[in-house]
Amino acid sequence: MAPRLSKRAFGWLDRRFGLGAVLDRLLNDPVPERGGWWYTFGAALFVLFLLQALTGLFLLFYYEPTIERARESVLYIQQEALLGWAVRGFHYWNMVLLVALVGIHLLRTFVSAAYKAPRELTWVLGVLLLLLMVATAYTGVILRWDQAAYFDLVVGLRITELTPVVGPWLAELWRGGEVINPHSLLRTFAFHIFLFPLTLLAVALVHIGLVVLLGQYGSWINYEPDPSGAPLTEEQAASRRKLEEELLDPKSRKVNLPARTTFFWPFHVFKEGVVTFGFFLLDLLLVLWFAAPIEGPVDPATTEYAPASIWFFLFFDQALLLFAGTWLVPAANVVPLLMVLTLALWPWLDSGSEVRPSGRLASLAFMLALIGVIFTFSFMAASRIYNFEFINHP
Amino acid sequence: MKPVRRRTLLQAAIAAIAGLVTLLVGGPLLAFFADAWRRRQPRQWVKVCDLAELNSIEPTHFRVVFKLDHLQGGLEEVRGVYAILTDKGPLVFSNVCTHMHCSVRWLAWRQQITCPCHGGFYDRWGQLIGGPPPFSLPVYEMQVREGEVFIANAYVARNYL
Repeated sequence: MAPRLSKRAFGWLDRRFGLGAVLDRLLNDPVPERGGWWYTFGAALFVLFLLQALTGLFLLFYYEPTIERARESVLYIQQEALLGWAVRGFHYWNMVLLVALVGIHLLRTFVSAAYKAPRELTWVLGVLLLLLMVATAYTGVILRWDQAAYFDLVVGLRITELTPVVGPWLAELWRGGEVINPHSLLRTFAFHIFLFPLTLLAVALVHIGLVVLLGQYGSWINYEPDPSGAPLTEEQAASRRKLEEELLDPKSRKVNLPARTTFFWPFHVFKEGVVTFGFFLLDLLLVLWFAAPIEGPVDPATTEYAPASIWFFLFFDQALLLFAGTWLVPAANVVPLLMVLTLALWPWLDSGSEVRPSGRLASLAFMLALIGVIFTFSFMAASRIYNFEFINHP
Repeated sequence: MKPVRRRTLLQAAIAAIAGLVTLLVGGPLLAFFADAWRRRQPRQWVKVCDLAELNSIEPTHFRVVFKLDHLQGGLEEVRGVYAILTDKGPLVFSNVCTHMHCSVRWLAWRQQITCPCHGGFYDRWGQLIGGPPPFSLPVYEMQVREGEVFIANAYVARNYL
């Protein structure tokens, strides 16, 4: 009897580009076992990003990126097209989860000190991915071309314009002119559907490639004696032997040997799948419960509409108030830029070999302060927006 | 002199070709993208209102429409302005807050112009009173012709940052 078709297909591919070796490297990869559930956010991000690209592609079949038709076409998707509310709802709520998950993923790797040598570049690319994710989400909001979208664009252009020296030229490039015009929406559209997500995907693949090359780090708990003291299972022992061999191989870039490892497939992929599925279910619940927002048509001369920042920029919106008058220039660009740079350069600011949180109190204090500021400022901005609504319509 | 090795020569040639192609493709694309830099909205005068519609107590809100023909035929740009009478005649100023460019509005109960975004406050003539904005609301170039108020798409003093 001839061998099964899948076996023959595998053999065919293996003879052509060594599929077996590729799969062995990717799937039979030894990864830290303990705390594995915490090391799943990156995978969830990747899958949710692909779903975002997929729903985005389908929205393109209806969306019209012109200032006359953009909001109308979004309303058509929302109200007329079969299951349009679900596709757009998923694209919206998945964006919310993606931005939140980037934050969670960053927080986890920060607490784990997974940015330490030789993984500095992985961290720097991660910070770049955070910026690209936020940029993609922000430009996506503008495509609705409703009142909220218009003023999100206005403020974004204003902040760009305040960049020292090059600001006005940059803003004019983005706007496609001296004032907001039809090209502004088209350019933002091109950024959202092509430039930002494609760059994001490319950087993400390098980011993931680095994780595979250097091996998953895990966190400090993986380098202490396992408290359970249970003997290694057969698979765990095999994965450990494989990792020990890799550590001796001069071609390998791996440096860490966790106390207990397991094979990536299927042991860790199962955990990643469960967590990803959890976020996917959360997506579906949000889609079913809350419609993606859309507001009235654009009126630049409005005396009624009170713009509110998109939720992930609320803290930034509040921070703008700390600097009044001409201090606006450092507030709007230089301070955020310095904060992002500090975050990106953290591997060099905390370059010691200590990985336990108790030995990295300065790092934890920095992150706690950052989170504290972000949440406090966001809350302050939300209450301020509520109060201005009251001032406008007493 | 050391002889140039064939390998070195070929590497230099490849780098030169790659650099040339990058310039030949990247240059025109960037220029194409930056076309906006060389297009300037032509100066134009549009009517705001009749002089009789204005008073010296409260600023009145108007919409004015400028053409964007320098980008594409038939496109228009809507701007909001406030106009008020002063001792020296009508004063027409922008409704765009000098802080984050949100649209300001006259609040009769406060007798002030406010910005809903970050709480900038201006008086009835658009002069900055308080809040985060760096400057007063910019004033439009204005002409009165036969009892009608016209503005140009230009500010008297460009007090934008």
